[in-house]
Amino acid sequence: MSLGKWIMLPLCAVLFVSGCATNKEMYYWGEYEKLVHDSYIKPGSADPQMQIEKISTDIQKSEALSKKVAPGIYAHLGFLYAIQGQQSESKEAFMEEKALYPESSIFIDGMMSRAMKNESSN
Amino acid sequence: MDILFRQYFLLFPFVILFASGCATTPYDYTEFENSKPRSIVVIPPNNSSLEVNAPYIYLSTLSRPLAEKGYYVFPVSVIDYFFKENGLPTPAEMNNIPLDKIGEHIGADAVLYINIEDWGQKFQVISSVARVQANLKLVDVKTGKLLWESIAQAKKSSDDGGGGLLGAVVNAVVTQVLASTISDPTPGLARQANNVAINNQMRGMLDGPYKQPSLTTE
Repeated sequence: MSLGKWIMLPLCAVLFVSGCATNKEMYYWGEYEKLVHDSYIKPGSADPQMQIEKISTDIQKSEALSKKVAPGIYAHLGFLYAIQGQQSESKEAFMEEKALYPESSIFIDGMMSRAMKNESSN
Repeated sequence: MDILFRQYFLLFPFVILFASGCATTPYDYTEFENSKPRSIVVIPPNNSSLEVNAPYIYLSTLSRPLAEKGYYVFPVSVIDYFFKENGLPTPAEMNNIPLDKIGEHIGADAVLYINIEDWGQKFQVISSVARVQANLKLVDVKTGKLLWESIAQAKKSSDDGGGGLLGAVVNAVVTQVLASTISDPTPGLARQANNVAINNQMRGMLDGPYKQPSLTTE
């Protein structure tokens, strides 16, 4: 009986420690998932301007934790700026995504060239 | 007669153990290893459940575990908007885009296709059960080969907390009241389900290029 307890204790400790180790995330996610969720499920609750503010704050928090900004975050921000008609901010964010993640190049270049066409046709 | 019955009864758990043992045989990663994808585009899920909001609730939970697994994940809302702008208003149509178009316009190495099988909360007299279940298929964009597939599923019952029959009734009532106001348990369940499916030691996804070898040594 008491032997059983002594065996269980280190086992639990190991589980606890390894649990902590696997919970560590590479990125800071902040409000991103909630914003994506709310923009679809609660229409009107996550307008572009509000999303821009929250994502920008998340990027600052991420930098404060010296973590790399997660995949897609700058691209999402660039897209929001484009919707708001803020072309230079949009371009800046898109370039940031490409610099962090070259895998995004084809998609980002396509979006930027379409945005430029839209701008010149207006 | 009684002895015979007991023998069958004893056999039953072994059958279950055997069957579940079969399900966890190591996954064949040959195609996954050949392909070595760096980037994944998540196509908005097909929906076979009765919950109309399921595809976009689920979509909002997938970027994080895939990115933490080490992949570049294309921004899900932006991709969805891009498809809609190009004349594909619903997930059903988005799931039929030819792979060469995905390669040409998005440049992804792999596509994650999802079919939602079951989603939402069912209320019974003394309990309620929330359930999410989805089939995941990762496909190589260049070759069309299946790299990995899994079933993500999680379930939560209102009487999980114990407390006997009375506890179950109280729990069910509380859960129903909460469900009608704010708390939707499905995003949380989906996160659990994704975590198990993607990070499973035996048949989860392989690590992507951005995965750091050891995060514990920071």
